[in-house]
Amino acid sequence: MFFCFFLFQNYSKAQNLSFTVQSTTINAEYSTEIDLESTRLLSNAITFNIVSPRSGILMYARLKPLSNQPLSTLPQNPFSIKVNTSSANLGGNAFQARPLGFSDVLLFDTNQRASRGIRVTNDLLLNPIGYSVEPGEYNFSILFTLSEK
Amino acid sequence: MRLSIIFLFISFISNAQALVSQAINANVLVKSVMKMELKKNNTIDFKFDTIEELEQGIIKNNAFDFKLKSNNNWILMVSSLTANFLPAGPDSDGEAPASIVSFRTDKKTNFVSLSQNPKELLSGNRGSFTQGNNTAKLDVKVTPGLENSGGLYSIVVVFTLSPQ
Repeated sequence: MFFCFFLFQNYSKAQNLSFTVQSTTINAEYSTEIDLESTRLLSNAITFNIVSPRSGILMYARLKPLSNQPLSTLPQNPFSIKVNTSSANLGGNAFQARPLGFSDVLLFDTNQRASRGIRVTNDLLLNPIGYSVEPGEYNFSILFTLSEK
Repeated sequence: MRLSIIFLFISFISNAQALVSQAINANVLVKSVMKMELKKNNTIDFKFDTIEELEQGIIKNNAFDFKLKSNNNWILMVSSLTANFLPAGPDSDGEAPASIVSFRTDKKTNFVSLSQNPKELLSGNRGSFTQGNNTAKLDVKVTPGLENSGGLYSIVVVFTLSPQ
């Protein structure tokens, strides 16, 4: 009987942790000196709707290249993300911009229960990439990973 | 003994952290961007009063400051609009060739003579002003010699920046 309890708990958690991402495809064009040298803001570009049966979640993000080009030839940190609004209290420095690289960075966390849903809107920043990136088209995914604490 | 092994196995599964992932597409389009600044530091009028000046020429060092930002590797060419100087004064009837003018940069020692056909003056790699050759000073030399008639003449010099 004791063993059955554990199994049930695990099954329930895996079924209910979920989130959706509302966003259109991000197209960042760099065609002028200003584009290459300054930060541009796409306000509320990405929205998360998060459901978790337990208190305590963490949201990570990273950039995933969709081509086989060497990483060193790609724009290194073309995007940053920062939270704009949230229906839950977020910990850490969620409202500060975080540059996305090729490994996971923590966007935010909360200890609040999210069984009835948490909505988080995020600004996307197009970072200055300077003059070291060769002209061309670079395709990425931004991979968001939600984890329970 | 058998019972305790089963217990450990179930405990491990129950503590596994739940993860879910979603992805969106993000495309970055980088177009060719080049910006050149060429600043004339002082007057580049040349006045020849002596035989020595005519024969040996006059050099104006640091006549131009050149600065470039580019996300392409680049090449700077120089050429003249016309094959010869054009008369600019009432008693000027000569046709001095463009080749009496030459340029060099502080990155190279040789002068490049002017012609209507563009010639390479400098090249470099992508980067901002601080990258390698992206900042340079240009010297101008004019050597009329004794074959050309005296007078006032002018010529248009064209600097052309291209991606490599």
